[in-house]
Amino acid sequence: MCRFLCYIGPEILLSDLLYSSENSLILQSYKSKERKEPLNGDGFGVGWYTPEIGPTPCVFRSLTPAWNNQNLQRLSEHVTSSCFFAHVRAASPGMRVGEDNCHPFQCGPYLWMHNGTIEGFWQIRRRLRASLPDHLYNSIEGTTDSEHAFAVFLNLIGDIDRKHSTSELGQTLVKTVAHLEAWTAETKSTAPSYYNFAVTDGHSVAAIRYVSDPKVEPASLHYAAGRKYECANGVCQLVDCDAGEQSVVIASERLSEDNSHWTRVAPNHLLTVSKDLDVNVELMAIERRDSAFDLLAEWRQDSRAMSN
Amino acid sequence: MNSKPTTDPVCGMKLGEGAAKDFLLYEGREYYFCSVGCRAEFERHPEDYAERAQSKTE
Repeated sequence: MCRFLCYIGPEILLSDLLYSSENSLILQSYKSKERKEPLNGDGFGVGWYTPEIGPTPCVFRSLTPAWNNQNLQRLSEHVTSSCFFAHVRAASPGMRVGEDNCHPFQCGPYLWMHNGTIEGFWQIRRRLRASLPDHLYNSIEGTTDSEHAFAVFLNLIGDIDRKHSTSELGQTLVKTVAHLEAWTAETKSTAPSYYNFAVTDGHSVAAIRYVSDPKVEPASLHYAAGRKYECANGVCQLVDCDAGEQSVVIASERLSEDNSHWTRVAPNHLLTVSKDLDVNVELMAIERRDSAFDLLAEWRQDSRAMSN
Repeated sequence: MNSKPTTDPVCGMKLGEGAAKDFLLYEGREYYFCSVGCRAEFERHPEDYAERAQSKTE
């Protein structure tokens, strides 16, 4: 389990986002509040977009804990963007600690982050990898369940050079979960998987808060929309603003204690943010692991009907 | 489920007549949900969600 943060809105300084809020991601890396184990020190990563240079994001990952990486601090004081993904890692048991395993993962214009675990990953890994075309199979550099899930997403979204709508991004995320759950169901495991995923192409963001058993509490995920991320005297917070200054922040933990600015993402719901910062929350088509097979069969049938 | 049009207090979804999948009674008031997950979430933080639902209806 880890902690992550997405920002989309007017251009801001990375250091303001990472270091300067009341419960910043850097603070969460050693003192997270909504996990039983507060440390997230098995590496970190940040990704950001510079549209004036090109559509692919820059990614900086390191194996050191985020709280004592001077390069991150120096770099972040000179990087601005209108779309950031940032992640601090707490490696799941059995998952190697290494730079290749730090999030966010990147392919083409996409960035991907995960907080959670695929239950029985080592039992489904061969099956999952066999479903991938060569270029995606070979694109997996690390060993995490998270990066493998990203490869499944990329396989389902198809041509990564084509611009996909916000809705396509979100629905592909949901389909990814359905495939992962169907493979896990074949192992007969009843233990839950935790899928808090976030994905972006630099224009739209899609995120989910999901657990296989809807009666179990999923990992935390919150969002704040319609406010400006403003910094004054070294402290950053979300404040009321005009329409053109609004931003959306999605985070494993609220960045401030002020609950009125933050909304919990409902369990097993999909949150999408469009280029124009329109926020939509909807129930995921897959609500639990045991509905995965039926759902995939239904989608296959729909797809056949459309192609006839 | 036989329910009137309402709003899920957890995810904020509008639920048409009969669209609710689950419900519970909390402090004398009925709350309807789009899913078992939203009901479970309400049960974990009932005060937060009840307060928000009340402030929206006032």
